[in-house]
Amino acid sequence: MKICYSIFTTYEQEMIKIRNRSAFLLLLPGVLAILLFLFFPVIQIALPTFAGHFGLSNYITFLQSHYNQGVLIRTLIIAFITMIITLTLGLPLSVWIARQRSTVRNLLSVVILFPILTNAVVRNFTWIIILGKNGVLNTLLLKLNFIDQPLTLLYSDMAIVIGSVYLFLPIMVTSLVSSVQELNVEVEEAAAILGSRPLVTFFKVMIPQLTTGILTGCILVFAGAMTAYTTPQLLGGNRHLVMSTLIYQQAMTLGDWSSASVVAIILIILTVLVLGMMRLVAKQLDRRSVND
Amino acid sequence: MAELEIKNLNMSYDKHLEILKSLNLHVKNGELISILGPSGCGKTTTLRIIAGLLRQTDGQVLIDGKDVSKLPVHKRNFGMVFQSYALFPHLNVFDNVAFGLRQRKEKVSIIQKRVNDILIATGLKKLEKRFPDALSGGQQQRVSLARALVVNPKLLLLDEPLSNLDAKLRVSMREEIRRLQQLMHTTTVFVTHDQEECFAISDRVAVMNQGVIEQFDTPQKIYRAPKTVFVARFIGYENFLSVTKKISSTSFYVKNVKLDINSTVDGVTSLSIRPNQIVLGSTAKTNIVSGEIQSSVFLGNAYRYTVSTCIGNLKVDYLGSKRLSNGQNVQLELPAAALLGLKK
Repeated sequence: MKICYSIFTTYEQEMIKIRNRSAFLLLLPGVLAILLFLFFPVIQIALPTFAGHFGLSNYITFLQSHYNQGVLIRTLIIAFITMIITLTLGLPLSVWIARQRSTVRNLLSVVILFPILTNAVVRNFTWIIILGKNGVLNTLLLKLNFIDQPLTLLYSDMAIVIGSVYLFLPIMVTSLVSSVQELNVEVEEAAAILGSRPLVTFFKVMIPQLTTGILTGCILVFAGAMTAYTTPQLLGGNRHLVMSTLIYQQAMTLGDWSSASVVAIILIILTVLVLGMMRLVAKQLDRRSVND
Repeated sequence: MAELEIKNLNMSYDKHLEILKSLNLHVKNGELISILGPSGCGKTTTLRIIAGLLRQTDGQVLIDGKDVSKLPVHKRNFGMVFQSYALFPHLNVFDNVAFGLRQRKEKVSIIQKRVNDILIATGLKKLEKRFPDALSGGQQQRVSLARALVVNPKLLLLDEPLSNLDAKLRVSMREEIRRLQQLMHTTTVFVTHDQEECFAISDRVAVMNQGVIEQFDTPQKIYRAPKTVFVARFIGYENFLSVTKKISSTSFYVKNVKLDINSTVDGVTSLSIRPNQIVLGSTAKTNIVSGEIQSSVFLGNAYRYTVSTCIGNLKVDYLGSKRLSNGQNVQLELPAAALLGLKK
């Protein structure tokens, strides 16, 4: 029996070796593609930032400019506010959608995702029509006598936030709905029977169980809003630049590819840093991973 | 501690689908009652209406004589244990148990003491820092019970709390439930489909079928003197004989065989007897029917024979050590003391 067993295991080990080797071969095209299409461009972007001057001086010059600092902070704030608003709107919406009968739920999921199916430029143009000086919203407010003269809504930070929220709400909702669906309704019923009011149950029982879904949604929305180009370009105009529109301006308008690369690298580093921080915060909130 | 009364409870999801049909139930202070019935009989619906998780179509739920029908769940001050345990996965054992007291804004020192006491009483003290996903099914159920009892609820509601546990644990958990219920003197409603489970710990049992309580009695009475065909069948009676003609309240014809019974109920439509109470090879003069053995099965403590008679096939348990052969003619006595009269 023992001999049989050992023969069997060497055979097994041999099989695993062969399998590992062929698995590596299978992985190779994917690995090469990632190296070629993902890292090579990043290196390509990073290289010119060190050209001309030695070390980080290009970066330091960029960061010393008050104008650039303003763009950087605006980008962060817009992405952050977009994330908070999509989360605040998305949470109740997701709970409502997730608790419908399956047919209704599927229908609602499609409706929520529908805006994603339209072209990004078209989507932003709808907001230009709504928010413009003679746009739908201003006309309505004037007719109702709420205001005397049209408000400047378009080409502002607010317009960028509105456009971004519209753009990213479906993504937030989609990642939250699947999380909410996994919750056991009896847990909330148990909380209610123990004397917890509906709002308390929502904040103290439901939300703590949704940390993973909330984190996923926030990461997707934040990273998306940080790096979005079309929305800030069309709704923010030339005076309200964010990092991505700054990159375009540096490269295409001014032809300064080295500065454009600096902005791009800073944007990448910043996004990674913030996402890392979010993970840390979520880990702190999720006490289960700390204890026992 | 409270008295529960349910008056004319009706529940229907739409006009055609009636789940409960004017249900009445009265549970005394400190009593543990079971609602026993097959799945779909409305027992869980009844419990959820009492808890306030469902709103009834019609009727009242009274606690100590006061109607709580309009009171929202979180103001009723009940405790409930779910089949899925429903522990808070993001809180450890201590915080799970403390949840209800914290909602009641109790002082920290009081919370500490009461949670501690109940954790000791349920043997969970050592596990207080664990999270639910690191507990076994039995431990989770114990936490769930502790969490429900620590707030001194007026009413403890148990929704099939034992059905996810293995057989051995089920027996010890049900005794644990009974012990704690007696200790705290909490009025309890226990919903189950397992008759052994509810007979073991209940003061009274309500047997439910299709939205109606068929019988509400002590376990002994339910077992020994079921009143309806459904109850008898549910607790293991076999041999149901339709009454052909009624002679008196204790004497009936089934086909052309005259059968007497000792005790009776109103409106008897069937007679029933357990297989082990039929006397095979009896020489009695009354309540006798003759038949022929069709088949037999070895049950361990006896043989179970299927005997074809002029009033239908009867199942008979006979302890004789020798197996009787098929085709043999036998005399069966259905003793009047063991024969039950049942309503529909």
